[in-house]
Amino acid sequence: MEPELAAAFGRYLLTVADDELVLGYRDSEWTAVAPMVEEDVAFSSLAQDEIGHARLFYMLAGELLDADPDHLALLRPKGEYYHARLLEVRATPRYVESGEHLGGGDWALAVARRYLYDLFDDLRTEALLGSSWKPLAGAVQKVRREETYHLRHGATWWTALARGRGESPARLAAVLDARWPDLLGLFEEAPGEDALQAAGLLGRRTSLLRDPWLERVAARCEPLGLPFPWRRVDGGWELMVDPVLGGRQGRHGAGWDELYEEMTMVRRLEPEGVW
Amino acid sequence: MTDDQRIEEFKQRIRDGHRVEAGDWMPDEYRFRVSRFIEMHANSEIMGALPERDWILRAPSLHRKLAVTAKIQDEVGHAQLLYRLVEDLGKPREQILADLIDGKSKFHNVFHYPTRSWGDVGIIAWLVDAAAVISQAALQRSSYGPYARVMRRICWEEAFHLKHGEDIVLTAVGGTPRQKALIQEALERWWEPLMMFYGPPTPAEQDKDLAWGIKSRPNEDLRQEFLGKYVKRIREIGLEIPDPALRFDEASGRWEYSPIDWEKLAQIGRGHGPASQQRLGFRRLSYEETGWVRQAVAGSVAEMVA
Amino acid sequence: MEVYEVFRQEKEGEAMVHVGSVDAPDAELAVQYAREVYSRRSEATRLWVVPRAAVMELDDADFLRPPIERTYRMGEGYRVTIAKRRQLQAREAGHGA
Repeated sequence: MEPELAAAFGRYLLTVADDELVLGYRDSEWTAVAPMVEEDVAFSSLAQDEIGHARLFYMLAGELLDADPDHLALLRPKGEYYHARLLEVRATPRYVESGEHLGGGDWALAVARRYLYDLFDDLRTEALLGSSWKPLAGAVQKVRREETYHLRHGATWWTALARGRGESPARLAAVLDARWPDLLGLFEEAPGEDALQAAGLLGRRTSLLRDPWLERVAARCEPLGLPFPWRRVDGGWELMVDPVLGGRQGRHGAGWDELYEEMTMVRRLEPEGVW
Repeated sequence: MTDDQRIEEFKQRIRDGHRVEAGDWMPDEYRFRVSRFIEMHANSEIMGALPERDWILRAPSLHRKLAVTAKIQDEVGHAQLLYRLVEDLGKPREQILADLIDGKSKFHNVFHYPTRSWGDVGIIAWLVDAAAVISQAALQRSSYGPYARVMRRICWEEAFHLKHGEDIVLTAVGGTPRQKALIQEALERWWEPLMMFYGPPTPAEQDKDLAWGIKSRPNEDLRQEFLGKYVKRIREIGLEIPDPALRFDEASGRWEYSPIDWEKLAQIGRGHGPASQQRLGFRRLSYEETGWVRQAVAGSVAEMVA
Repeated sequence: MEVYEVFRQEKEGEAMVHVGSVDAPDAELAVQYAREVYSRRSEATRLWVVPRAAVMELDDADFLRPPIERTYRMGEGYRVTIAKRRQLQAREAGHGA
């Protein structure tokens, strides 16, 4: 692969790896505090899968960028992570030593975010299956086989919350209403995706995944009476909200400051050490 | 047959090594004790996950992040297995969790302490789990069949934890002075809780759980076994144990150590440990914030979808 | 929430073995939880997940181990045949001599 393409593709793969790492991080925060103990065990596996996928993508990016996967995961500067801003938001309560814990556990956010992200990720990995870079195509096949289970779990909870007793449907609708702009930020591109698509490294650039995703999500909202801010127009979709952009360029919100600090604090004690 | 005769016959069956199953007739005292014993164990697993879970987020490599997550997932899984046993003895899950949060039921002393560094992650996974493995191996012979079976599964999983913990410790101790210091400092804080782990040296005749066969070995025997296995392993890698009185006495064949403050342990058991209330407070918060979810699925999902 | 019993086949061809139970709101989540709790280290080639309500338990000692002898069904009832064979062997050996 020629150097410029390798650099651009490595940079693109970091967006994928960072998405998986940050989602895995936030989902792993449900360990020991999920709504039911059996679900706790299940959700922890989902989080581990994401981190495992992240590791795979960091290894691949590392080959192209000549970098160690752990270095990529834990030692880049704060402004050089390229995940979507949707994923860095904390959805769990936070333990504070003094006992004045921070609330904020929102299972509706955890479920909706993960499921709608997985619907996007399914489109993204599908577009990578035919990549002209064979190591990636092989890795993506394995990832997709694990993700089948994620989609099944997500679909079950999506329906359970939409149709559940009590506050559940209202909470789901409220989370969606608050997060549509963040969700649409998933389709922000990394630099150079047009060249990557032209070279056959990517089957379809990230922005082109948006319309199929809008279709899928509409199909999952309509039957359950969940509103969504887009509608069909001639030949496509019209959005009624603006996406929150910046994540793919390294610009993030307050959730990232807190996350980055915590994620890197031990490694930074001995950045080059063996842990 | 009178009740007393029935109870005597039951006790004899236990002495003969028979196992009790969930649907069997059991004396009220046996049912009460075994349920409470398992409940405390289950609570310890779920509460034990709390000090450790923050370190998932802070793990210094992707491999460690995965390993720590899997280890804590196992602990939650153990809680699940054990909660099911308590439920099958007649206590609903919501009641079990409510009692835990309200301080009406106990969890192991070792989980009432704060964690302060990556060093704690290694020391807990290695030595606290090692201590647990020794008592859990003995519980595989419990008179209560379902508990004995779950203990076999738990012991199998704990074996992985020990290896994982030891690996973290050896890697850090073999690393830079700063990394080694993390482990040494953590060991110094965890030594006292470890020495208290098995409880006071209650004489076998006075230990009711032993009499019913719920557990099979006295506390001090377990502590002696732990010391016999691990003191050498700790010292030979260059770590110092913070008890100058700790030594093996050849004449008696026993380990001697500085006196332990058993009243302090009792206080911790009552919820006055350094992090007890903070931990219970967090459990209460997370449980309350997810109440609506349990309510949402209280009927079946299939009903809703139809 | 209902209790579901879980059975697991560890290797191809082996029997399904009971490994424990899960609480779940319904069958779909029960299946997912069963995998997590009883097979997350890839210990199973196959799982059965069954509502506890569908399981019938029998533990009556008279029913399972009836008191009247049935040695005609068991190997130990036929140890006498070894002695009978020895007697005939001895008799035939005596004729041959």
